[in-house]
Amino acid sequence: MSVDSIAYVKHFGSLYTMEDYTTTSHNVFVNANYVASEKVNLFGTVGFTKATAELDEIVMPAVTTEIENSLSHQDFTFEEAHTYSDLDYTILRFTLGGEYTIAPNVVWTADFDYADLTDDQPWVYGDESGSYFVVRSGVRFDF
Amino acid sequence: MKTLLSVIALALLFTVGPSLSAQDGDLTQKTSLWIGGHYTTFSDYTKKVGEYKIGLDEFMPEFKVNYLGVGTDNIFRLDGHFYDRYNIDGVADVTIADQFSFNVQYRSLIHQLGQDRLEYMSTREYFHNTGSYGGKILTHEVLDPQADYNVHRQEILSEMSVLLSQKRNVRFYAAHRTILTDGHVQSIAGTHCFSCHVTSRTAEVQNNTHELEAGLQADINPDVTVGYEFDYRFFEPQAPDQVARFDVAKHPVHGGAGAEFSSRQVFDDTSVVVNRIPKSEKVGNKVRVKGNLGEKTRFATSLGYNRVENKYTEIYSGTWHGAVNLSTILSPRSRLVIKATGLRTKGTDDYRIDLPVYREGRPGPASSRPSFDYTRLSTLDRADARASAEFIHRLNPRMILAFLGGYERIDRYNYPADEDYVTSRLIGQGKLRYRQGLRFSGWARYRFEKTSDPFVAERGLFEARGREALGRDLTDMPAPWTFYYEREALHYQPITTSPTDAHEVELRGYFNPNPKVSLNLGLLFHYDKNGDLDSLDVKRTKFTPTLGLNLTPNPKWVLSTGYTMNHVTSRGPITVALFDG
Repeated sequence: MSVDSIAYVKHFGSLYTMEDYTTTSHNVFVNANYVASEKVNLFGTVGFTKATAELDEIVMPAVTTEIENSLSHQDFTFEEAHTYSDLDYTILRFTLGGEYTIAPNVVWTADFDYADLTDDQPWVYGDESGSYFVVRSGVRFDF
Repeated sequence: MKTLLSVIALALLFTVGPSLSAQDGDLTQKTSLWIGGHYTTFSDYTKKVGEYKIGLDEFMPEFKVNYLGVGTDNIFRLDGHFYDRYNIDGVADVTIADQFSFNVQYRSLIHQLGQDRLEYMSTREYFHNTGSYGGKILTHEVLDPQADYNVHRQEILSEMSVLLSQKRNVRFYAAHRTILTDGHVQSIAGTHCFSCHVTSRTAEVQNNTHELEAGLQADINPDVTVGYEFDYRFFEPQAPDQVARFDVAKHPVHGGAGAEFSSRQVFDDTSVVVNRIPKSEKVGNKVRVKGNLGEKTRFATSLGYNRVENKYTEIYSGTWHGAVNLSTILSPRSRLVIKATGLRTKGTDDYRIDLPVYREGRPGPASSRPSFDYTRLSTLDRADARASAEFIHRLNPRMILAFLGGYERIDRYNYPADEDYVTSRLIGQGKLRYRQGLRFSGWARYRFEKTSDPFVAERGLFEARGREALGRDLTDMPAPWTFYYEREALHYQPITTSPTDAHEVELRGYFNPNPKVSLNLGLLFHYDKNGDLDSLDVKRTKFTPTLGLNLTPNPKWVLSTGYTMNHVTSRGPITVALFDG
């Protein structure tokens, strides 16, 4: 059997390119504590976090003429694929509270905690935007 | 469990505390009890913003207790916080002189988990010249879309130490830790055509972990202490096995050719246990020796052996490990610290993998029905040796300079295949510390790592192209497409994210211009790349500045603020395989 008569498997290999994936996060906070009087103590916190991630657009190199002719029915552009990796979260948080000394060794406390998360790139888990509000109060006995 | 722990904690508070007081009249006690409650309300999606909360709109009672008793030679402490039925913390510890110490801790939390909607697993081959679809299809199916996934984790840790003899400082110590996790998670399985049909279902989690550590140590002379330690760890999943249904094999479009498709699948038209976590056991023994070599040198060494076994399959690995630390004073201003570690891991001897015969019962010559059975060699088999020396020198009362040099080597004995793969690394680091009284302190550090042959995935990321690349004569074969599996042989280009060169610079400064102001600044910059991957420019940069400011303008106000940024860029390859349909 001559080499020319052998039927070989068609194979076109693969294409590749190099791309950057970038993640960036910023976190800033401010805490304050104020002793208003001998009986009153106040405190508060503001926090802000923003986190993003993105992949550069995928641009494949040009295919060879041989491959292009054989695979003319295919499209090797990926204009939207990189957006699947986008992430964009923002978290804003406020805390405000205080203590009031009712009597020696007896302190009433109250505080509020609010957090809001905004998801600007919902994808894998759907839109994860949400918020919670917690109000807490109690009495502390020191002895 | 929670009730039992609460009873133990209260019993300790009301018995041990007074008993300490009774032992010694010079006892200082401080107790704080907070009783209250909280109400939580959620809006929209709760599992991200409330990742570690119950996630329900509800009122919950809450309390905290703190007790500290300090005597002449004893301390008793009890701290507890009940936030809700899942978020609970408690710790109680007692120390009596140098003779006895005991502590018990309980921690409980809940972790909310989202559900992967799998929507990115949906695609189909498309011919844009004819506007028609092909047969290569990837589909997904979420079988339990309303599932509420979360895992409750509880940990109980107890530790004790007893001085058995003051003469030789003979001390016995023991610790036990239990970790219990229960809840429900998402379980994902892919059925045939490799991953043509991906399904998701709810899986129950109920895992128990028990760890025990016990040891004995004694001074055999004023300069040398010896010890022995036994470790035992047992992990057991108790939830029912998760079962996935594997579809009937057939052509994904017209539903024919069932026998041809099924004869190429490992699982077909059957239910199989998936995502099973192995029951495992670890047993370890270790001896330690530490002490002084003369007046200027201290040393610490250890030698041990661990054995870890998968109790379902009897696959195991054994590891000999040892370490040496040496610290010596070279001069009134200089010190040398030498550290070395080594381990040798040996996995289960050859493990046979039996697979169904490819295309069994189908037409064609025997060569078209190959066996893919193989013997798996353990990729855990390796020797790992690391050593470093750090020279620390005080230049003057304000500055300390340190240089560190290190060498690491890993010999992987069965990777790739039955060959050896050796990774070695040179490390260099310089660090300068500066302190100007209480007003300013800071340091600067530079580190580099040069790695030869970092670990790579040898299987290859890309496929060679060319119509004759396979070089296989198919003249008497039933169909050329039965040899798609041979494309494995066309893979080339090992790939890794591990760098060959890494550089890191870190700067830190702490300023206290006056008692009312403190400022700290930091900057971390990291760059690494791999120069061994032919034309692939794999690299990564990381940039992390930090800022912190504390102000106390007057006794009534305390202000603090801070900023942190983290910026990471990673460059890597993206590849697609080219098909002709």
